[in-house]
Amino acid sequence: MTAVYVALGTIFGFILSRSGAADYDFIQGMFLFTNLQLYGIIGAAVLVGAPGIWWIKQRGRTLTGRKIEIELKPLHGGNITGGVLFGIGWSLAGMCPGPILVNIGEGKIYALAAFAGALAGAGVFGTIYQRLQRPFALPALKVGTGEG
Amino acid sequence: LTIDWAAFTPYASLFGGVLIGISAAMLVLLNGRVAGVSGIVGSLLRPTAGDVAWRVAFIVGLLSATLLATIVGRPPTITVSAGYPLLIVAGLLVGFGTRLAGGCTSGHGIFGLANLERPSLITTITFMAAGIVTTQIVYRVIFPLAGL
Repeated sequence: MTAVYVALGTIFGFILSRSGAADYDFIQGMFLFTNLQLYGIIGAAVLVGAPGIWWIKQRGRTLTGRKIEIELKPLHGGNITGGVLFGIGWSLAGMCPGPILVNIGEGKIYALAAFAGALAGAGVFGTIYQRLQRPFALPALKVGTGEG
Repeated sequence: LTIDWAAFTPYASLFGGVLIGISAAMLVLLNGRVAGVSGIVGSLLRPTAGDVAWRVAFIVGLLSATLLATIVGRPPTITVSAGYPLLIVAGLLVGFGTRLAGGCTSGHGIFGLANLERPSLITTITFMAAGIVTTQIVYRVIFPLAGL
């Protein structure tokens, strides 16, 4: 079973690598509207994924017969603030989380700096979560279902 | 600064997007829940028993994707990105921002949108807008001659 997840990660990473999602210039081109390729890829992925996920929810079970647990994520203050911070970081690094890993795999040593920063940022969030929870109306910090 | 139509390969983009959509749906069909890269990695910072192996496997796949890319065809080109201090700061913003927002490009932008979740739409619009504004400022105002 674990091998299947490796395969899915590989397919995911391969497309990210080939599509330009792990390429600094492509990311800047997307945000400058000089290269529209990544918009097409995200759009196509959503158009294919939507009926797929709908069908799986109708089915109600995973391939191994486990119950599908897709919880709707609540709207909260962190969506906007976190989105702004993430968008700035994505633009400056030229990498979002998936491509950070793909870049490391591609042998781009500098991506390790972004990875270290991202782990530290996630760690800081975990540390100060208690203080952020009320002002941002954050959902309970739990591992697993429905998280991004 | 015009749209580089030569760099826009609609069929390849469509194919890549379709593959991402299929692998996203496959992940749900196997795992029973939606999960993006920032969550898959971030949750390893506070691991729960029985919820580690598939995450590690997916990350191993992402990291080894380049191997496949190299076998299938041309190896990825190494492009110059931001400097190390900026990469660490940008990484911090990515790590903290995605945890606060509850997801990244994959979690909100692909899984969330494909699952027709309004918070994901709002978050995706927010981080795309923040990325667009940041890159536009960097490459049209601060370094207009950088050649992107």
